Amino acid sequence: MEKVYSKHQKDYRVVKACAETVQFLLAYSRSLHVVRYKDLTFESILN
Amino acid sequence: METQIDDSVLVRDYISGDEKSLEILINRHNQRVTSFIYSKVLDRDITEDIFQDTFIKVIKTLKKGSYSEEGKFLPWVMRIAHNLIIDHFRKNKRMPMFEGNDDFNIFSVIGDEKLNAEKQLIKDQITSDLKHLIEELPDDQKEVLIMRIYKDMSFKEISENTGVSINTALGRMRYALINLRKIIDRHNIVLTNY
Repeated sequence: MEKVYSKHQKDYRVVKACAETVQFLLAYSRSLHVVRYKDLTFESILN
Repeated sequence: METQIDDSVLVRDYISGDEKSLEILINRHNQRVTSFIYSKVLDRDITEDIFQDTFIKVIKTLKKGSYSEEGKFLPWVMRIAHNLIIDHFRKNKRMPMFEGNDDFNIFSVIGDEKLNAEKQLIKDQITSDLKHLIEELPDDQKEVLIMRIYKDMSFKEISENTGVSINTALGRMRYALINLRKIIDRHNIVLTNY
């Protein structure tokens, strides 16, 4: 019966991305601007 | 009791410019997405990287207005993460990563034999200088030296090609080297890479 379990079962654990990563994503989002002109889309990062 | 704002409302608010909504969305799903990635890659640093790349894609897609799965935000994010995990394993298969540990450092076994840019420049300069010096030698000595050093011919082959005896070829090589040293000494030329 034990063979039906994944061999990595013991490695499953609850983890969270660190605060720095979240802060980076929020800063990235604030700095990212998307401009559309006709059919074209331009991305710009403004710090 | 705190009421939870629906994902679809937060997505709509974020697209409208409310950055706070993104923070709520990330914090709300952080644990599930991160745990999912970690359960596949089993490495904390790679998990952080994939989590970051996942939300960069989410942010770009939402800001571009390409998102069309209202009401299914988390499954959509999980699918992006899943695709990035596959990309990670594909990339690793093409280019396996080897990590050393305290007991064994891979760089003690392999090394980069290539010269650095500065040493390569010096080597090229020396090669160029040496060519000019060789041009100063008498023709018979120059011929033997070029055949021996640059064409890697044996003295037997040199004697056959130049029509002189092996001893004469050896003598010309000896004088070629003596004369080269004299020119180098006379002009205080430094030919070294170290």
